[in-house]
This record gives sequence, C-alpha cells and structure tokens, in this order.
Amino acid sequence: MSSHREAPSISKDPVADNTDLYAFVDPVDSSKVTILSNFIPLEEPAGGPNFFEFGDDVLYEIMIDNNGDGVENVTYQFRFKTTVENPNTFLYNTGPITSLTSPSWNVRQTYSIWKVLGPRRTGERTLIASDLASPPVNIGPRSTPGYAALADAAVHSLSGARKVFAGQRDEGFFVDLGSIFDLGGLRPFNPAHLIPLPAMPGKDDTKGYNVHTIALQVPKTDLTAGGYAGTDSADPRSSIGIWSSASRQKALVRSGIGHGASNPEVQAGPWVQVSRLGNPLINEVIIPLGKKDYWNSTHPKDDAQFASYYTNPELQHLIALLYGAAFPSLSAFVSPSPGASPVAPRVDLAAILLTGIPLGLIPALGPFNNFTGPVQADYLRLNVGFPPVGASPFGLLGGDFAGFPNGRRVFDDTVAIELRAVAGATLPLVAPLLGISFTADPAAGVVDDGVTANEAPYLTSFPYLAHPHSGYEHGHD
Amino acid sequence: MEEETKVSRRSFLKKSAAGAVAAGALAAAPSLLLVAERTAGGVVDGVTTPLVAYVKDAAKGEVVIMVGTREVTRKDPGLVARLAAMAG
Repeated sequence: MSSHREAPSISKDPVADNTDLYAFVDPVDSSKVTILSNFIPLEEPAGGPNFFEFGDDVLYEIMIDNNGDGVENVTYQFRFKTTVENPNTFLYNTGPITSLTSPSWNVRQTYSIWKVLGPRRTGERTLIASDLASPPVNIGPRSTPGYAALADAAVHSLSGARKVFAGQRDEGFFVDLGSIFDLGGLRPFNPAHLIPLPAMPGKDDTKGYNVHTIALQVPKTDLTAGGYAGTDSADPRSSIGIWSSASRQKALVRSGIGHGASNPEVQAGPWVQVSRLGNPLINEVIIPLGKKDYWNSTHPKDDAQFASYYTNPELQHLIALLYGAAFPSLSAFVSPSPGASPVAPRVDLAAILLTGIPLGLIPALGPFNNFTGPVQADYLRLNVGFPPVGASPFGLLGGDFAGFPNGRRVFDDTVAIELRAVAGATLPLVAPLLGISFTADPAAGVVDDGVTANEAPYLTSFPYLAHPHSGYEHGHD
Repeated sequence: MEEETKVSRRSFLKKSAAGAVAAGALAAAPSLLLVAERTAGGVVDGVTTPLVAYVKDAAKGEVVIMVGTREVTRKDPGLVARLAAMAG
C-alpha cells in the first residue's frame, strides 16, 4: 500500500504505523495549507470491544522544511490521552453517544498539540492547544447515531482560523494490493504479464476499512520561510517540504502482574522514530527489504544515502521483466545488453522525489517548479504558489500543477502516477539533459492497477477524508 | 522537551554518579537493566519519575541512563561492577 505495514518492524506496531501523508493548498481557503497524516492501517470497522485509537505512548509529528536543508523548521507534535470513565464494564459506550460530552461514552481520547520552531528535539516548543476531543469511532446506528455531526464537532478551531482534527476516517487510499503483490500483477494488463491471466478490473483492497487521521489546516505563512504569503509560484520561498513520523520512547519496561493504573509500564528516554513518511510508496517499493526498518528510523536530511534506489529502482526492472513485450523501450533502457546496467540513472525520479523540479529546467513543464534545493530529502514538496484549481487524479502527469508530485491531494492516484513515472513516462523530460534518446512506451502512459478512485466520496471541506465506515454496516467487496 | 523531571541535568548526573566504586573485572558481566521508581524511595534520591539504567557494554563500563525524555551515557566501571554484583 502507500506505506501501510511496509517495513518488518512497523508492520507489528500498527498504532505507530504512518500510512499516508497528504499536503495541499486548501481548495476552500487558498491562503491555507491542509496536511493530513494517517496512522493505523486497515482498521476493521467492526473492531469492538477495543476499538482503534491513537497511542498514548506515541509521539506523532508533522514536519516542515522551508529552507531546503532537509531539516525541519516547523514541527507540530501531537500527544494523546485515553480516559476510561467506567472500568467496570467491557463496553466502549453504555448507550448512544449523542455528543462529545455524552455520559454514555466510556472510552475517550483527548490530545494536545505543540509547535516547535527549529529542530524538533531542540527547538523552541510551545503548547498551542490541549485537551482537544477526538471523536468516537463509528460503531453503528445504536451507539453512534448521527456520526457526521459527532465528527464535525471534533473539528476544532484554533487561534488565527487554524483548524485541527484527530480521529477515525475512511481509508482514502485506493490500490489493488492483492494483485500488485502477487508478482507485480496489474489486473487490466494481466494478459501481458509473464504469467498471463485474463484481464479484469482492479479491486480496491482498502475498500471498507478505516484509518486514524491527524488533520491540520494552517495559513501558508505558518509554514513558509519568513512567513512568506506564497503568492508567487516562482519565488523559491513558495516551495516547502513536508513529512510526518511516529516515535516511541527508547526504553519500555513492562510491569508484569498487576499492570494497570497503579502499576503502569515504565517508559523513559529520548523519542526514537519508528515510522516516517514523505512521498507515497517509497518505503513500500523503492527501499529494499533489508533497509526498510532503517529507512523508517532515519531523517530526510540523510536521504542521499538511499539515492541509488531512486535512480535505479528495482521496480523499473520488474516492469521490464514482467511486461517486457509492452515496454520495449524501457526494457532496452534498463538492460541494453545482457547483464548490463541501465543506460542512465533515473534523474527524473530523483528530481521528482528527492529535490523537486527546478524552475525552467524542463521546458515542457512551463512554469512548474517545486525545487527545494540540492539536498536530497524524501518529503512531499509543495509549491504553495500554485492555486488549487485542478482536479486531475494524475496530478502533474495530467497537466495539473496542484497535484502530486506538487504536494498530494486525497484523490491523487499516486499508484498510477508513480507506476507511469517508473515505467518511463517522465524519462523523456530529462533525456536531453542526460544526453540520451528515449521515447516512452505507449503503455507507460496508461499503465495502472485498475483502481482509479476511492469507494467513498471525499468530503468537500476539512478534513476532506470521508467519515469512517461504521462497524454495523460495512463491507470490503 | 516535555515530561522533564524536576531534576536538573547537572544534579541528575551528579546523583547518578554517586556511589561509584573502583572498577573491577567486568568483561564477563551480563547486560543489566535497572528500573528505579519513585516508590522505591532512596534508590535514586530526588528523581521524581521512573529512571531506567541500562548496562550497554559491561566490558567498557558504560551505563545508559534514561529519565523523562533524556538519555545520558556514563562510563562508570565501578557502578557497573556494583550492578553486576547485585544481579548475582
């Protein structure tokens, strides 16, 4: 998936598993940026009696680099606190939850937010909100009637017309996971696979599942260098880098018999990052298995060490191997002769994913740019100077400057975009710079997993991801 | 960072080092974990939140001490020797 269970260690720690990150100029108020960071993959909505919730022992963070050095200048930190009103029942709720103050709601979460200016562990740290209510999970018509109103009440306004929400949402990412990880299967292209099967539509394997989202909407000026208003896309200050992470304290000592409020686990020591996320699908399909846990622990400023996986991705070899007949140009590029290395490094992918695209470097892209500087760092790059006017799910590949890889919107089809880019669709843009000739295969412009949209409509306003599926009424097919 | 204890870093280090004794032969000493809690009065006087001390490398006499969100590593073979002796 995007970054769900993508590394061995984090696949065993779902509460801290950062699954998707979105960042875009808000389409309702274009003076603001909305950032959504998702955690806890594939939540089965019927998750009782202990429904999904954020981890009280996890530090959730969203970082912004606004000067291109790969180090955060602004960080938002979120800590959660769970309260059990009545421990003498097994019930999450003892009656209908009709409001965020309903006495029937037994297991609640609240959270606090800090803003850090400068490096996140040593910078100036300020508490900006505390004891904000998360909504209950969506249980069913008896327990959580009128769920939309309950969730809407948990959209909190902060000073300066900023907004925040932290709670359960529909899993907005869409992908044919079952086919992709069955030896790179793409159902619509099944007949062209090395092991052919009949062509068929893609299946959305995240359909019917939920996730937990931290959503933040703040003025552009909160994020840009020097509080720049971000009105000119050509101004370098308009391009910012955004990533998110989850961390746990270094030491954990289990309390053994008698664990509970009077005998809690002991946690101590500095925060250790166990999950991070910038661009979608990177730790999923770019970073090799032996380095996935390590990648999760590292910082974007050090991502040059992973650059070779971007410039010669295993995925381009797999596409050529599995679908060679449909990708003759790519096949010749990745293996010009038996055993030979690719003709050239994929600097197109490195630019898209590690530095951003400089203004004027690629004439075919016109005024588009989201270059943050030469430091290679994996994060979403958002040029806030481009207005949120487009709606192509293929983002920049669809001629839409407001979509991935310029930030990422909830409806961007990042599986198709990255598949097409790796398959060679973006290589011609930089071929002249490499001194090579490359014409993309026609298939590179259409290759897809066959899942083109989420099963649930997105909301048209903050927090954009749809309300979660209820446990009482849900399905995965 | 949050969850700072009431103990300053200086006093914390000072208290952690207290009681150090001469170094012994430690190469064979096992790694040890020590958890001191507020209720274990007198273990580490003045520390008001749980403290975890971990013998990372007995041969080098290194002890890692974590409290709140802080961590310090001290080279104190004497302390390691005492911990090893306590662990039996």
